[in-house]
Amino acid sequence: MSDIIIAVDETNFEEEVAASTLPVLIDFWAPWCAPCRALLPTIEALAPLYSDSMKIVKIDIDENPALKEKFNIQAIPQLYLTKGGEKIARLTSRTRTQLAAELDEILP
Amino acid sequence: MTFQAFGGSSAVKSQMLEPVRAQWRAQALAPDVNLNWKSDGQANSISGTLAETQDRGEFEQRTGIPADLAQLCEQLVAAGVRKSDAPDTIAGFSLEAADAVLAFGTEWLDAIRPGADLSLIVPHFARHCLDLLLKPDFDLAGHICPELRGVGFQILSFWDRELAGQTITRGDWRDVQRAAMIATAKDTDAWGYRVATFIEAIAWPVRSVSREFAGLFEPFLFNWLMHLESAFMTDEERMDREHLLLGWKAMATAPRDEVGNIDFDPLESLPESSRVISSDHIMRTMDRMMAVREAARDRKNEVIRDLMKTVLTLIRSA
Repeated sequence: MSDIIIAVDETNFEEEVAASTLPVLIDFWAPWCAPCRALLPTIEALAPLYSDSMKIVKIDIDENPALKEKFNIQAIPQLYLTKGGEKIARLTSRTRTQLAAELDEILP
Repeated sequence: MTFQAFGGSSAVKSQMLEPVRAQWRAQALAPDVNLNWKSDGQANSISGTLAETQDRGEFEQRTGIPADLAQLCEQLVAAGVRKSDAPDTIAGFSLEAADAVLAFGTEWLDAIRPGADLSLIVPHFARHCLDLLLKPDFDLAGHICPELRGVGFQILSFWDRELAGQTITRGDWRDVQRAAMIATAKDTDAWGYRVATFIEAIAWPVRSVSREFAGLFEPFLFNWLMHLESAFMTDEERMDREHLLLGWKAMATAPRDEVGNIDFDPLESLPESSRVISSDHIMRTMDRMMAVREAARDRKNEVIRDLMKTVLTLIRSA
């Protein structure tokens, strides 16, 4: 299941996120963050539903300070929908039902 | 992934379980839904110790037990345990709970038949909980609005069809999810909020809910156990508790900026909630609320133990 969510870092960000033809949902997290760990199963459950319209990746902010700074991450978990490596929306829901409704509004 | 508990070996089961049993008896482990194992500053959990990892994938590979089930069992024990600092003990903490609640720490592991496929235990447990909360004699039944109850029955019907081998279309699930969100948004009952958000969050195919279930069930169970205290409160205390819940809901649902801040006071329009959330009120009523919690303890243990019995029955039948 966790293979569905690609772990992105500063070395593969360009390839996996910026160059992606699909919009990319980035889950900013850290291993010590309990709410982040609680959210992960929800994100993993969403992934197969949107595999044709969106890619989902996770970024550990402790391991990737440059990406943390690029996206100005000040609190986690943080979910950003991106296109071409730039954020186009911040998702604020935290249940699968509400996140799916948010995504259905945004994605083509 | 195909699950085969303890690789089908009684010897493996015994080898993995005995060290856990010894440490659990010695109160050196603390139940935790995160399956803690050598996690900085955290006591080891029962399941973390069983597989000597807190990584879900490694846990499942080493034990043949779904991590969802381990998380649920840890959560049920944690719900009935009071953990307090005890610097004079080796573990640095002590656990206080009814014997029957503590027993479950290893009872669920003892109940597992080596080789059993436990992948459907949590989906069946989820179905049991949904059925339970929709019953007219459920403790919080009076706080579930008709619209939400209707959504709950629709989910239950879909789950039963799925467990019988049928597939429900994404479109059908979308309709239920929309109805759940509408019912939740309309619900204003102080006690109903956690029930509504639980029902809304589980409006998905039952097998896919398994992975998230422990996290979704935790606030629902907390709310349910807290409601059991109402029977031991005065009318005034019950009103204050409702104001407290409305205040929590207002804070939980207020929009937050990217730093997590709320740029207005969600309690401004709820003066009674603001009053009961104040530190002054909490300090003033602390002794009395502790007495209420103690009075409700047997009833709470009964609920927790019934849930544990359901898990045991499901495990034994696998």
